[in-house]
Amino acid sequence: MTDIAAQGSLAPGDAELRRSGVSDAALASPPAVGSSWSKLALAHFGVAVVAFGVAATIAVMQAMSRANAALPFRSERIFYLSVTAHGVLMAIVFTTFFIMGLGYVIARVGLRREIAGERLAWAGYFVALVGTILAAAVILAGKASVLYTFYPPLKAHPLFYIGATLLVAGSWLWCVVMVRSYRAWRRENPGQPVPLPMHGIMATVIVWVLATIGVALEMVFLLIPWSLGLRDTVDPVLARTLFWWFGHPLVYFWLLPAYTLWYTVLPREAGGKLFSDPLARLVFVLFILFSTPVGFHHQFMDPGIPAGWKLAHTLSTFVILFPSFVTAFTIIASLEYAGRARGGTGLFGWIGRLPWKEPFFSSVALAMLVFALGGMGGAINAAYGMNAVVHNTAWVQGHFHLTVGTAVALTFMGATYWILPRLTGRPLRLPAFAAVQPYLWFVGMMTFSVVNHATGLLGMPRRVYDASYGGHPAAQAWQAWTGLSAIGGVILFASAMCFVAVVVATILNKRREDAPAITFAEPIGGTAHGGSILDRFGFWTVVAAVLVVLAYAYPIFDLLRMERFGAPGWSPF
Amino acid sequence: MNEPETQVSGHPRGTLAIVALYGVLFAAAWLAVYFLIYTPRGGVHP
Amino acid sequence: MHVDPYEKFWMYAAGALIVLFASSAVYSAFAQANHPPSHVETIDPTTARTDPRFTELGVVQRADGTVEVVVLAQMFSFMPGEIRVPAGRPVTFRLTSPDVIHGFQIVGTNGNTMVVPGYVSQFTTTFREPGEYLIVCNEYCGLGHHLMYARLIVEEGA
Repeated sequence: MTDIAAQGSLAPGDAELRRSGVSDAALASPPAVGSSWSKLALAHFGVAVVAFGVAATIAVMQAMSRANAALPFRSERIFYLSVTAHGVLMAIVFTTFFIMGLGYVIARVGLRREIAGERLAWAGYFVALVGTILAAAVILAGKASVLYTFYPPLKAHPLFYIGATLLVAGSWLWCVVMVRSYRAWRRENPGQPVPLPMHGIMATVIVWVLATIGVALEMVFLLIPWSLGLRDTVDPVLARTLFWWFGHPLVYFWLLPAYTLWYTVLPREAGGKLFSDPLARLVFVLFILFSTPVGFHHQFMDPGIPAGWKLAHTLSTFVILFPSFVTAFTIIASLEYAGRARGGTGLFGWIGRLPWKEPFFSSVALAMLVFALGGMGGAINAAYGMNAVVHNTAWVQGHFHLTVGTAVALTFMGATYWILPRLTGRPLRLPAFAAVQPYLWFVGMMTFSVVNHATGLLGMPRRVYDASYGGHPAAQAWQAWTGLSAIGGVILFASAMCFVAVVVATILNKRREDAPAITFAEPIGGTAHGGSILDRFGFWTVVAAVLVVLAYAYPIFDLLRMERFGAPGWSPF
Repeated sequence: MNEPETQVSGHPRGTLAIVALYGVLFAAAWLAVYFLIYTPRGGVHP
Repeated sequence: MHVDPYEKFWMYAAGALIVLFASSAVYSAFAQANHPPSHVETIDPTTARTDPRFTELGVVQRADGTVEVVVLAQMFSFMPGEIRVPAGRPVTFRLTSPDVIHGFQIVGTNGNTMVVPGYVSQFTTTFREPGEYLIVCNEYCGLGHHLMYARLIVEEGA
């Protein structure tokens, strides 16, 4: 065991786990500092953090603009440009780059072997980065204020669509490297259970590939030729259908890496173990199956799509609540195990024993708490006719700031605090900022989100520069709340700047120390046996593809054979 | 791999209490919006 | 697979919640004929303004007693900007757009639909409370999006 121990450092807390019989091989991680794979990961995290910082700055200005603060360059043109920029940078750039970086870390450490294709990985990085810069440039130039959903017939500059497509293409190269790494590991380890962190990443990859087929079809066949003038018209319902084929599984592309961290890092950082490994695998498989055949729940109000298909997607959407409910139990039970191991007694005493001062722990714990709320809202959004209460109201932004904006983003920020010292050997600087940042995010986000849920129920629309509507009494009821929403935004901005400050200060830190090991949680009952059907990704991908065909082939075919009239483009911005 | 000696035994009763409470709140919130907001605002038909 | 009995109990409870939600959607659809607006009818957006279905805008009382409201949604207004309908009677809205996607939301009611160029949106609802309702466009349609609104006046016993 000593040669393995010599390969990398063991974290101080490992001694106790070692005494309880966990092997050194399971504890040691490959040396990270200065390695090619850590540079690869850090390059991705770097883009993610920059995108996040810019988007957060845009967001606070938006929040203040909505409260009618007299910002010097406040205008409709700037506002809708900023909504587009904020959405694209946060929801597409920050997330995708972070997820790719995390994937490289997990592939290297979780599979305990070299990444299969670092050069291809770098190619993917640069393709995605070039695409990002192109799209960002035209957005900031005001030529692509079409929001991150870019519904035609709103028409942006062609470089917006081309840039976004390149970003997705770069991520496909990441997918190839992930799959190749997994298959190389599989050849070298026949009959072994897939290491759980990589199981989560493989689920992420499969969901992403199935999802991006939809938006790729939309871009390649509809939007890019149309924006270049090669076709005159586009059918907006067909475009929306292809977009939302992509748009719902997009949220699981975001969520599955967060879940992977909740299942495989959180229990250990809390001082405990994962409550159930097999159920984690079941959860990931359910997401592989049900992430995509659900998209019509984003199109409840669309003409041209028959109600029967909307109802069918409603039912599949409710099924996808199940793996998240299971996750809630498994993760909380893991924390209860950890809290009791730390001496907690009574029904809830273990909660106080958990390491609430540790930024990774508090980030994820708060992220999960907020997600619990977001899930409730999601079940309301998905409820067929009841969607009319919330469709396109402020409730929607209240909702997704809880889910992607907190469950995912706050987890990723906490994970950054965890991964940065491990990849760079630099201890985390400004630890007081890091400790308070998740709580600031929580307070700011709850303020922002609760307010928007409330104004949404009162009927305030989303994505509006100003909601005064000529002083109408209904609008007056909303105006009372926007100030509070802006305060939430300012608190969030303070939190975001704490995060960026910690990252920048840590990167610039001249101190070096032994990088802590990257180690993953051990399961209580032992790992699942090898050869489990839940590890058979090829099989589940085929089943998932069949479900996508069942959910979309006939409605799209039906749409295509209808007599339809395309719409020409407009650029009213 | 040896089964580690656990200091914790029994079932996660705190967790069960938390998720049970969550389940009740979840249903209550959903039903509240359904019966107090959606239903009174009237049905929508083709 | 070994599942802790407490977790197994929770999985059944979660399943029950999901069944509750799913059955309510099915019941609402089949027993009450409540559906989100899902009308399937196409129209050429480039000639929508002169299409016979949209030349007479506003409130039309049909011979069979039904009330129909025909609306054009465009950048950045609804035509007509003021709609008067009777309380307590089913009102059918028909909408299209000659330019980009708009939303049509009658604040305080479940009247909420997308208006998509190339398609005719249609839904029927009954307004029980007389009064004046704000109608907003809730789908981003350009720099004038927040200026796009109209009024619905529901009149007693018309």
